[in-house]
Amino acid sequence: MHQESDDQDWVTASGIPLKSFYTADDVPSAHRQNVGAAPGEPPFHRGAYATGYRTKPWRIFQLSGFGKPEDENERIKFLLEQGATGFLKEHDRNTADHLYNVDHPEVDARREDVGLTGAVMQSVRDIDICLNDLPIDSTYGHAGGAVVQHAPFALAGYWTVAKRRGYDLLRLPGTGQSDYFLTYLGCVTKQQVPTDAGLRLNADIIEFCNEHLPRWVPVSIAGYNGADSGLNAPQELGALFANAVEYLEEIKRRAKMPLEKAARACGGVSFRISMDVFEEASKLRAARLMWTQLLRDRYSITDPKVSNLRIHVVTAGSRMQYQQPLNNIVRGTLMGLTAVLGGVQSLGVSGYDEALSIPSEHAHQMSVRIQK
Amino acid sequence: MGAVDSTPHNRRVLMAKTGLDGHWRGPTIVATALRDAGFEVIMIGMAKAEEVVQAAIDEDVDLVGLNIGGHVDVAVRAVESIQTACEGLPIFAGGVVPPHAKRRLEALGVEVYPPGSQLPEIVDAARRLTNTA
Amino acid sequence: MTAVNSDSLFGLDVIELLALASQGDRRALAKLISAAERGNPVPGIPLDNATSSEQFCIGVTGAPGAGKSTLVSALVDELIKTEHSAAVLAVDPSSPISQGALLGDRIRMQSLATAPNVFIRSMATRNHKGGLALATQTARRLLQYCGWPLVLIETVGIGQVELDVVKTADIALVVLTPESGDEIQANKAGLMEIGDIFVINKADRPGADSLRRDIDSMLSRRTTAYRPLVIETVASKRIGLEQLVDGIGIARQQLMESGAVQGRRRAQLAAELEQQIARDLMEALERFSDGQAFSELLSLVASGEQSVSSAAASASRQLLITRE
Repeated sequence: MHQESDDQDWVTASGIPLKSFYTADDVPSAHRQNVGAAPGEPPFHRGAYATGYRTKPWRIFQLSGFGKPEDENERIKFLLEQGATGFLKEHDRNTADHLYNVDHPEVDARREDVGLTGAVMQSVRDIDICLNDLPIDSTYGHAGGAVVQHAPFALAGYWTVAKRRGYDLLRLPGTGQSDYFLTYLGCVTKQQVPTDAGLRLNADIIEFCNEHLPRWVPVSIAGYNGADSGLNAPQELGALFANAVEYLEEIKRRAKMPLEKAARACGGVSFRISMDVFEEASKLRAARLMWTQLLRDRYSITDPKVSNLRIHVVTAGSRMQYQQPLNNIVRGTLMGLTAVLGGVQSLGVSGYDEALSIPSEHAHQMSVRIQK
Repeated sequence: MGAVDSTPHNRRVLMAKTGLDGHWRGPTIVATALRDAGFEVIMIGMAKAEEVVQAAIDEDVDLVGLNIGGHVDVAVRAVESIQTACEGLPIFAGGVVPPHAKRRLEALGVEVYPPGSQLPEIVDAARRLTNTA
Repeated sequence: MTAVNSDSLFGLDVIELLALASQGDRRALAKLISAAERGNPVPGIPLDNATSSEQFCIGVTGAPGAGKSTLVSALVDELIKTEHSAAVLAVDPSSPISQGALLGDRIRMQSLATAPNVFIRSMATRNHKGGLALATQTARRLLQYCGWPLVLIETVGIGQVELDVVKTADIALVVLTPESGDEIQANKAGLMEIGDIFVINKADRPGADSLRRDIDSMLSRRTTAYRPLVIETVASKRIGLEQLVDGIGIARQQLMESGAVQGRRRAQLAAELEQQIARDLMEALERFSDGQAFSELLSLVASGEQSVSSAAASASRQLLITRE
């Protein structure tokens, strides 16, 4: 009888070799002590919070934006009605990312593209329209400004709207992004502020929020564009935390705020989730462990409220196929499940029509449904 | 002169993006594949129609590759500018090109390779379009 | 869709293209440069006026990562404020395996690319030893003949081939960064010898001062009358470009006045002449080796009736007499 031999080299998507099965003996000795740690306990690999989704489900957080601010306002309301529990207001990339006005020659040459990738918001008035009738004092909003040079505008605009509506900025929830992976690696604009200027801007934002908007997450390092540019799971982890270290070192150098506050501020990050279910879920668990260790070993920070890494995930758009797009609903579900197994705090599932265009209403609805 | 070479040696391809969205991975992957197949690839990144035309002329390219995202009218403008200034210069395109956009570009004589197109297919197209197949 | 014919534009030949190009037809000029790249002769270009001061060629080289393209872009931007025009030949290496190339210099100069008084042309090294310098020379001559008196040639100074290209220029800029210390010490590939101006780019990084000292110390050992300039720039922030343009003006003037530029041009022509003679002789030898006379000599050598050296001497005499 011919015995099938498993003599292939099985590896994860990142190339980590896989045995045919694992036992307790496979746990590396340095990590044995962690095996017993409960969720919500350092090093948090089982989860950032003790009762996890039993008491606090992840935030359904979908990227949206196109057209006029009124159009985006409508779509955000639609998503919230469908059950999203936060919103991401995406600015039109042609104008926002490059800091161009709508009448700039580079924009005018591509005028039909304006408003296709986000709503055009060139002033506080536009942002106000976009946020019309939205309870931003109690809804978690991403202000836009994923690109480093755009962030100060997006954030200042959002906060100005909040202030004018009489909300207490000290209690305003929400997040910025200001992400190096996107700005300098993923979607590189024709011109960018130099990286040292970007670091200065981000440190300024972190310090400003510490003083004036303590509930606001000032910046969010996002591994997505690193991963989509070819970084595998260990590399995405390493690059993301290296970025965090740069921020903390800069804050430390400036010596204007306690490092623990900055660590908490930088502890809201975002990863990409792709199709290798077990590796990707493990990646998120490893991330929480790494953050705990990094803060303890480098900065002697051990406060559990600082060390528990909070993670947002965006599922990989690159895995959404052009052909037979409805199959992407399955892919989105699988990647969403992977994120949940990894213990995320918030999740955005790519639209099934990702390879064709920005999400249609139906695709957006599907992304929310999948999470519900 | 005009003899068919058996390899793409010395054949020059211009690669440009018509949109301002900054995505570069697709064009870079295609550019690298073309380089590995023997082409000389001049990448100019995000470029307006007149920039693409000037580059096509000054670099005396044998083929233009456009990466398209966003509205098809932007791409159509670029294609028409190139065709007016450089009669007979072949153009092929890739990127996020929904079916209706694909049809419009094909009607102008542009070969279109939407997401999911295989690299060997694209390289073969480049060979065929530059008479080096 | 048919591909456009290589050496022709609407069926024109090289002579007709040259007539068009010299009257300002950019497309014809571009096609002629392609012919030069392929090593095809372009007859009819008048030889350089070796003493011309209006026509000038600046070679730019340096290690990879020195920011040459960014520097050249900023430099051209500055130069065209006072110069009539500027043409740039940007040379990048061809893959030795596939013979293809990624020509990524132009993208860094995109802001200039549609200015009517700027002409940018990307060239691959095409792995033909020695032929590259000739190709860039021919391209430069074409440009200068067709109304582009100022030409910059940019290469990566990693190999002898690329350095030979830079030597065809009237003056050479060597671009370094504060991390280039090792390269100075090792005097890689003769970079230090060819420089008329040393540019320390990314000079805002630590180490710029010590690099300057290293360069000065190397230059102080030179015995030539002209002392190369050392200029600091941060090309990405447009710092130091005015000084660089001034420096180029000074170098140009001094080296023209001393006759050094004219001497280099003459030396280049001599090298070209030699290369052409060598090529002709090689071709003649190849023909000879296929011929009857060679077989007869070979038989004599094989049978011991004649030595190799005397057979060769006999062949050489025949070659020199019978060469067309």
